[in-house]
Amino acid sequence: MIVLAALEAAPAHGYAIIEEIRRRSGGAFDLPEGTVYPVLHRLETSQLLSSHWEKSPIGRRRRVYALTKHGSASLAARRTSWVQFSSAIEALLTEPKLCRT
Amino acid sequence: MSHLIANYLEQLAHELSFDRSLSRRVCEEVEDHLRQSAERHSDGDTIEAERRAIELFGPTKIIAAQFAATSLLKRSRAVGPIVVLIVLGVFAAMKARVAWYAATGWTTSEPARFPDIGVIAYAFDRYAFYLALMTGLCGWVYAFRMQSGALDKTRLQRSFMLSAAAGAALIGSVLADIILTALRLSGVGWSTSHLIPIASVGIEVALVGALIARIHAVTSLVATATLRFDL
Repeated sequence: MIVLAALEAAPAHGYAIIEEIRRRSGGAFDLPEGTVYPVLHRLETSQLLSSHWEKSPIGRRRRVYALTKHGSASLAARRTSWVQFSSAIEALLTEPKLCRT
Repeated sequence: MSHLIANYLEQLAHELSFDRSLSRRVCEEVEDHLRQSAERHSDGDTIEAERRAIELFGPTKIIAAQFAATSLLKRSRAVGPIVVLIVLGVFAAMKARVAWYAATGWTTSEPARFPDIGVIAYAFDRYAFYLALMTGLCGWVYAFRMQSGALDKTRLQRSFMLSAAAGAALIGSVLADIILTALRLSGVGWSTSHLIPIASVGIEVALVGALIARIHAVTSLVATATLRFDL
């Protein structure tokens, strides 16, 4: 879900995805960088992402990933589940108000 | 420029050598990442910047193991449709031979010589073929339903067992076809027109050979990768 969310705004290459995750999580998700690439590969195999090669401004080839329609739908479904789950946990963790009779 | 990144990529390529196309793609992608990362961390010391980029990226073995799980699943899933296509190819060759017998006026029932062997071989051929088709389809569905993510070795083994069972049944069916064709052709004098049924049996044998080679290649790859990465 983290990687799908990072690609929601626009297609990006691996390094930019990692930067986006780090930036949007305020540094909380400072993942080992190499672990993101197998995840991208798995999401592409599951047809949640598509990818193609592009030339970088300095001429290096880089793989750019984009959400597919299936990926956008999956992200929306996961987001709904997460909101429900986090609301439930928040309700549980909120200190109950003591009732005085 | 130091050789740290080049050495790292060489090591990664070695770890991913079980899947050469994946290895090429990943190494090119990782090289771009490491160069960007090194440029970002560079303050004049190239070696230190490359070392830092590699450190942030992580050990090659761990990364390759994560790629291996997806790659093996993808390749294992691809075996199912190949088995079914080959079974259908054998069926087409069989049907073409029977159509040729009918068109040239040969009897399409059991061969005239050794009728008992012909009857047994014909029944064996039919049931072995149905078994190959059914187990092939089951293997395809089973492999397709395997979840992405962590590699489930038990499910993978079951999927291969189904493919292997389909392959074994198909070998039986093709052997029965060879016997039936030999019985049919041995009863009459040699003619160049015999080359047609012989060629159709040859196609069946070639298809079965291709299937065995494919299953062997994928199982060897899975065995190598699971041993290397302790999956």
